[in-house]
Amino acid sequence: MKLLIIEDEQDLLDLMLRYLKREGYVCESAITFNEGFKKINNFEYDCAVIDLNLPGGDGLKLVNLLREDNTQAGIVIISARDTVDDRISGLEIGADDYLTKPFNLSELNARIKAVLRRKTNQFSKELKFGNLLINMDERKVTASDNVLQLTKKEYSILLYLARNKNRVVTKDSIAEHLWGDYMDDAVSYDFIYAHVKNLRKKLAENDCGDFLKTVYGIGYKFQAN
Amino acid sequence: MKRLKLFYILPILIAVLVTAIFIGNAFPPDWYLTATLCAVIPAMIIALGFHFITFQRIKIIRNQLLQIFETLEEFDVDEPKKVKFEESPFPIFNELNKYLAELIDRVRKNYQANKQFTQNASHELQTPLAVIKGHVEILLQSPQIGEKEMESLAAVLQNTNRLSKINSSLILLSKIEHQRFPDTTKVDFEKVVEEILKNFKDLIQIHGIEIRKNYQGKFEIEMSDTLAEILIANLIQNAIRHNSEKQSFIEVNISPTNVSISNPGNPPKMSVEKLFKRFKRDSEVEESLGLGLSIVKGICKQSGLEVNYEYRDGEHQLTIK
Repeated sequence: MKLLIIEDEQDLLDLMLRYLKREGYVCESAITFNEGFKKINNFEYDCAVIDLNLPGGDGLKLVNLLREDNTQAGIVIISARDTVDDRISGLEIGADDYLTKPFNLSELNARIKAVLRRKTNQFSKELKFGNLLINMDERKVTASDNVLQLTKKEYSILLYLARNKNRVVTKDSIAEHLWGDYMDDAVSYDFIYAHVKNLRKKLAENDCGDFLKTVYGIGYKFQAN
Repeated sequence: MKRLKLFYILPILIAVLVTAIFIGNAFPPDWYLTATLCAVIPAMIIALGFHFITFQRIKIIRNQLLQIFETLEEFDVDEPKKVKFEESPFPIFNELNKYLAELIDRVRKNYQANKQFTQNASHELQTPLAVIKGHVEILLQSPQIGEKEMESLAAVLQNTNRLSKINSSLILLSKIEHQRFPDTTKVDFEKVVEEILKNFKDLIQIHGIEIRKNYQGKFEIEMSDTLAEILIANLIQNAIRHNSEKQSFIEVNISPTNVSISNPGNPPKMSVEKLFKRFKRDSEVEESLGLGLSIVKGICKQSGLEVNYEYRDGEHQLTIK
């Protein structure tokens, strides 16, 4: 899988590269509009992460260009502009997802995976860990051949953690993943705690007990080997 | 001014004229009577003239002052509209107006600079905060990190999250104040409330909170639907957070004139005005930022609504009308 990341903030770019390279992607980067333009014209990518505010031009033009050039590529916009209109215009022009800054790296990772799964055939519709199977097309989770009855939120938490497997995922990133920005910590942490507890119970009942680890004070980790 | 000088000169002229006529024709050459009349009549005329003139002047001055008051009343530090004083016949008022205009200009500039600073500061903080969070996220993945270090990282993370939440709330507040939500539609509050309650359904269940609805008609307002959602979400969140432990409920009343949300809880420890101020919080809930009600107030102000808080019979009640 080859990714192109276009972001003018060097620090953020480095962070994204570090996080995503560990997922096994081949990553290339650009920090200006022109550099991004050249790379899009000269190479093929499976997915591009594009910032909208770039020195030298509007990132939306790059989205447009990439969409005309390569209809298969996934496109994730990352931007500090967060009005509904910005979002809509980004998606209308052909982006697959729109992530508002500041975001969590685990969220970006999960979004890229979701986009890649929808866009390419190389990503399986299932995630398999031992005897745990997550079918993303049907939003169905099977443990030791038993279908688990999960609530929507429980499913979202499980999938989010599984997409960031073997990584510590923070509570606030889970909260943001489930609720967006307007949720406040006090209430949402209780909520996540309660749901992870239920999830664990349901998994344990079907011999999938040790996937979800608690990282005290920070969050959770989906442990898979 | 010219007109006023005429007021002085005219009575004196008339007085002299009348006196001359008296002296010349009407009276016998009785010198002391003539002398008295010569002194008294002009004096009276002059006194009457002065009274009249002073009265006129006071009236004019009063009007001038009222005009200045009116102009000052229209002044809003937040509005770019230029304050315009009327030209006055008195140089002293023109002088005063000039000073006032300068003062207003200065106040406005300072205010704008201040506002700009807050806004820029919040925006400029976004990226560094994101970078810190990102680095922590990467550090968390490192296998070399021990338990003690993990604790420190948890603290860094927690505080960075707090900062970042405060920051995004401040940005939201400044956006509200700058009217960055110009698109308005007719918002039906019943729909908004239902939507938000649906969103928070799990949370409400987990906290064992009972929802009591009392809808008596539609409350519809022409405003931004995004802001309406933020407004109700904030109020419902507060009602969840500050609810009493036992027998918890949230009561939503909607009538054509107002929407009110109430819940049982401990009485507030500060005055009502303070509750709406930024960073004033009245709770043991650590995560509370103290910005929620400022946002509520900001939205109401921009949308032409009025918000009131009341604590009665062990219940918090917020009413929007």
